[in-house]
Amino acid sequence: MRDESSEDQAFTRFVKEAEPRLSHALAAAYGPEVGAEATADAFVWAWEHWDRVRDMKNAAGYLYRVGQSKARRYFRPRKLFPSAGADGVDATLPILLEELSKNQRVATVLIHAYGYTERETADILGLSRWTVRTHAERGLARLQEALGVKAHA
Amino acid sequence: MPEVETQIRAYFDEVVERVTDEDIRIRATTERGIPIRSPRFQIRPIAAVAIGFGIAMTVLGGVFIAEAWFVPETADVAGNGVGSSTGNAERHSPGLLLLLMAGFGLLAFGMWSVRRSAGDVRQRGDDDMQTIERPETLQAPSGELTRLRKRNRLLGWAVVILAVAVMGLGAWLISDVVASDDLTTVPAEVDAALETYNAAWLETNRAAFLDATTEEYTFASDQGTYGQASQASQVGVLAYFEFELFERVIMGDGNPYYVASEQRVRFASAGTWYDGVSIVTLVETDGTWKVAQHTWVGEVP
Repeated sequence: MRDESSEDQAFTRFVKEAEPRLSHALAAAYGPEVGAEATADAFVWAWEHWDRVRDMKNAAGYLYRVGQSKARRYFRPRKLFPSAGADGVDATLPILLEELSKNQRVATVLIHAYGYTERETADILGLSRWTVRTHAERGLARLQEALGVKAHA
Repeated sequence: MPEVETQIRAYFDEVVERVTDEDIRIRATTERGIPIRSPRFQIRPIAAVAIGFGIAMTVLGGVFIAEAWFVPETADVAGNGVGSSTGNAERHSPGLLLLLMAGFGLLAFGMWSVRRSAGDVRQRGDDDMQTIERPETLQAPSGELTRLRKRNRLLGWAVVILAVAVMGLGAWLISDVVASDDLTTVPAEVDAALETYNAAWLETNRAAFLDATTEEYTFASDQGTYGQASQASQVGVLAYFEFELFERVIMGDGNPYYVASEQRVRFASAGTWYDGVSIVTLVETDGTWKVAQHTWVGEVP
């Protein structure tokens, strides 16, 4: 029989490990606002069903799909990606991100921006590594092309 | 400008709100605020009930009106077969129309209520996004977290069950009406007898005519009433006779059958087409269906 404090610690460890990937994936998929709520809802679901989630081989991937279901409950903003004032960020980046497909955004953000492996990203999206690689390459190429054109205009 | 990868990371680092295990525990144990759903999913119980009953009444009203208008009343037909099926609609329509109107009214009220709910959602916060949790409802977690509050899905299930029930009722009523359409089709043997009778006329086949009619057969028109033998001799000598059949209506079922057909008839002697309605009465004698009476209502040469 497992004791509750150790389960609590196990859940905390799980959140620390899975949260960054899930937060960024859902934020890339649905925008930062809905993505944050969907991430929190997914982890609440994980806490409610910890007995099941604890033993899953690909818990993060499963929670990504839970997050997708939760995200449908929220009223989507007209602009998925709000403008940001971060230094060195092109003002059109949010618009360009929105023009990518959902999987392209997630793959590009996880692999190229945060350095996750293709395998880790494929586990999250439930796709093959080759598909994920294609999404990431196309997403990055489109962003580079759009931003490069603008930089030289 | 930095690399695209760096820009993406900087952007997401700025806009993404991270979730901690503490956040999750608070969210899991506090009273949840109203989830901000797309307005199309926000429905109040009164609207759900109104829409459910509205759909049910509209379906019922529509089906009954369709039945009254399009399914002929078979018991109306008198012995001579002259009758009309449209009298049913005139008798039943006011009450059914009221039912239909009430259904539309309830539907309209339900939709209005839903739209008002959607308006409330928009007024509670920004157009784009709203606060998910109501801060005043947040409570600090207390003690060990072993059981979590479940969401109340009773209304959702009630709507689903109501919708399934309404659809089932509608399907049952529609199938009932469709099944009643069988009254407008005749059994194969009756149809065959009718075909044989018509063929005897077209082929001026006296023997076939006698075989397809009863001994008591009569043919009635404005020109008079003729018995079987008299009409058979007439059929047998028709040098040129043809007719076209249009809509056929079964005006009675059982024994006898009354079948009314719109027809255009042309005789060689006249050369022009004459429009009218043939009402044919078929009876079963000794296990065989035969024509007992033929009444022609229409133009004559």
